[in-house]
Amino acid sequence: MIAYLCKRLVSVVCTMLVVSIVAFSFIHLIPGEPARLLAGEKAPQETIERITEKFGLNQPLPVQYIKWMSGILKGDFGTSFRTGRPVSEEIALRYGNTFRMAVIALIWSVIVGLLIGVWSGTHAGKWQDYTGITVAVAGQAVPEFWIGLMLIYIFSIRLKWLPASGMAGWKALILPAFTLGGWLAATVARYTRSSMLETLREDYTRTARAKGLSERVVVWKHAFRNSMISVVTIVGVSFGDLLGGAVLIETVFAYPGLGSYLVDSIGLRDYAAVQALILIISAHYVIINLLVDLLYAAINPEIRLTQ
Amino acid sequence: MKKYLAFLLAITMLASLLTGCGGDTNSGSGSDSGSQNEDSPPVEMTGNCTVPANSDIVVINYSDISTFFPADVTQASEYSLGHLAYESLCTFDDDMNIQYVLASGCEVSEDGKDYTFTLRKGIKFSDGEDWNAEACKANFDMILDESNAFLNVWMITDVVESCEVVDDYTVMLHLFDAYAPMLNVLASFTGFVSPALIAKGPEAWKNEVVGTGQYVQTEYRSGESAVYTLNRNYWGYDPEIAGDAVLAPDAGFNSITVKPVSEEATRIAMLISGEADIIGSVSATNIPTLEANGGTITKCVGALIAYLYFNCQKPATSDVRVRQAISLAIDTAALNDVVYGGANQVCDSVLSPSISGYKSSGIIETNLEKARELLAEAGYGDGLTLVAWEENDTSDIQRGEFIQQQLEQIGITLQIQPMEGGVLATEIGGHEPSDPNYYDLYIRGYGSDTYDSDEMLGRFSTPAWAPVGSNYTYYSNAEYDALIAEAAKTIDPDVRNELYSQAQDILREDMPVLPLLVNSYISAYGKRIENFNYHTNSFYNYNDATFVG
Repeated sequence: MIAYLCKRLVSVVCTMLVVSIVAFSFIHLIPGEPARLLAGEKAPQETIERITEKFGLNQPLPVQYIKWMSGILKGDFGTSFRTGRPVSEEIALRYGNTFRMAVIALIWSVIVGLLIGVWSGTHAGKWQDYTGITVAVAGQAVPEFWIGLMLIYIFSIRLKWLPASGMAGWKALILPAFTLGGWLAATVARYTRSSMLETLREDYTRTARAKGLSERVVVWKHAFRNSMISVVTIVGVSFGDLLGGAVLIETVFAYPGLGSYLVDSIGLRDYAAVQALILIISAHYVIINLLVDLLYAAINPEIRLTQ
Repeated sequence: MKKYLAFLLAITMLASLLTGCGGDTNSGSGSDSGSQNEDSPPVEMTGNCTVPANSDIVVINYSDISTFFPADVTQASEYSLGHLAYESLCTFDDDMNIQYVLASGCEVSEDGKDYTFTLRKGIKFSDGEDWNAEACKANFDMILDESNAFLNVWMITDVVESCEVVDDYTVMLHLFDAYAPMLNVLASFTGFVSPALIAKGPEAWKNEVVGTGQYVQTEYRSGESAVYTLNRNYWGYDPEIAGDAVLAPDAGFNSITVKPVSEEATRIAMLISGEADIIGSVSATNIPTLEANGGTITKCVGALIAYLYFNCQKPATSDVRVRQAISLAIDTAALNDVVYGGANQVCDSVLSPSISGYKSSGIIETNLEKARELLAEAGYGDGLTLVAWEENDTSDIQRGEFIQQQLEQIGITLQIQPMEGGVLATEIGGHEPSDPNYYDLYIRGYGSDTYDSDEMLGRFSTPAWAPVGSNYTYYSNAEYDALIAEAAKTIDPDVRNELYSQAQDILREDMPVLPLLVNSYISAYGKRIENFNYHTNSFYNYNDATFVG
């Protein structure tokens, strides 16, 4: 297990190194001068040149990359061209917001998704199943910005229960977190349903029933617990999605998170910010994948042996 | 299996908690460092100001704020916030004449190269520092120091050589050469910062807001909100200092909280639900919805003009007949109705009416028959294919498609290449004007900063060819260039306007550029406010509005 862990850690470091090169090249190679975008199209060439020099953008790319990487190793993600403040400060402000929304979205969507999934799975082919599946498919198919706008219309404009935007306390989190979790809830429901259908057909379920256990114990203690495994994998990986890409929801609810910050930063070619965000979002996926792989290895010794 | 499951869940939760702690701690400290001026002296209730203490309003902007430092602001939203906390030597009044603010008057030397400003006495910055000649000079010295590489002071640094203290409340600006719109340049500058802030250096410039303005920035959260609190001791309320420029005692609001919301539907929802009092960037199509839900609309025709630039160095568009034919084929009134719901204003000049030197040349009437004749004369009777560049915004693309359809009627096939803003900014000026891969037509808006013809007509002269300036037409006419150069040095406004009138006639005749529409700014306000409107220069006028609670 230790050898496997070491192997995996080395591969994580290599992956992050490759990601850093890709992140750096990606934003530097797309056309668009940060100095020109910041100063505006009217600014004379002289001004642009002075700003370019101030940001160190006239140095060769490999030099800039090495400077950036050595900064990161010291915990310095660079300075935002746009605001002149350290990128780490700007990201820290928004990271908490994104994380809070993602956790709430994760919690409600997993609970609701599981309940719908179990309900559908245990009533396969009946109206309960069709209702559950219809809700789940709709949840995956309807665009989230539309759901967001409809929720604003109902709860902010008509009922006036919840604010349409912003950061004013826990109430402001309800609508965006609900919208964000919709897709995951639907996904979890579908996975749970199919996984329940499988486990309900397994020998151990039949044995449990044969022992004369009540249906509740059979479903929740035997079938449900075993179907959780594949669902947890999906949830783990989806958490990365929730953290990385809630751009539309952040825009609709004017919620200051990482996604909208990334889009704004790309628009202005704010290199330091874009690079740091790509690194962080990639790191989420790498770490979550690592955890999932380690769990598999713990569960199934075959994986340890074959690798 | 049970224990694996427990292990699995434990790891997942642990991971969440660990990252959770990190995120929350950072976010806490980040928020703290984001708010400013906490140690500034508390505002006392003195003087003449009678603004109600509960008049706290929320204003929604389209975009986020990058910087508040006057020398670095470039976005319209940053300018409008800047004017809450900062003031310049002069500004524009609602007839777009110069009105003195931190100065009480100005004398110009005969050769037009020295401007002597008498500064207003009794004004303090929000940190308690005095506004005087030394403070003024400290600002100019900072602006003129090239090593600071500020984003947006080139209009000053191109013209001003140095600033000299004459006495405690008199400064003299020495110009490189006579420059008639000098006061317009200063009026379009956001304002002067406290000398104590200047002394703190570039790090502090990015984070602190210390000006002489009516409001003091009391809180800022990046990406979230900025709060401006009324300075009840603001000099503008004191008739002894402000003289004729004195404000009504109840002018303004107790505080103005500005938030960025980029989605228009959300802005509208916030106004209707009462979360916001004023929302900007409203499209014409949403006006009925807002009015039906208790919103009031206010509009302003600004100085942002949509142009169709002809590349005068490309084979077809170098022929004036082709340019005239295209101008006769585009129905700008229909463009306004179809794409902008009639909210904008059709151009009758290359300038908008708020720009000094404006003269109406009359709206170009659509005449397809004449357009076809002109094309045939130019040798393109059998058709012509042209390439147009534009930005890839939704409404820009619709505008391009509309023009494409109009030109089809006279046998011109327009190939439109929409580009992302950043790419476009690099491509424009990045080619030889006659490069076959460069545009024949370029469709883009241009907003005036100085509200002066030197900026708005000067940009069609030869020295302003992109990328040095913003002459995207690569038009070159010696007679025109001479008029622009002479007008820039002519102080007498009547003589200047006459020169600009001739320049506008030449542009109408040679048609290197077709002005399409003047953009209207549309905002809406809710029931807690009355009589809210814009200044002519498209900034919000908070001082004439009334808070009704």
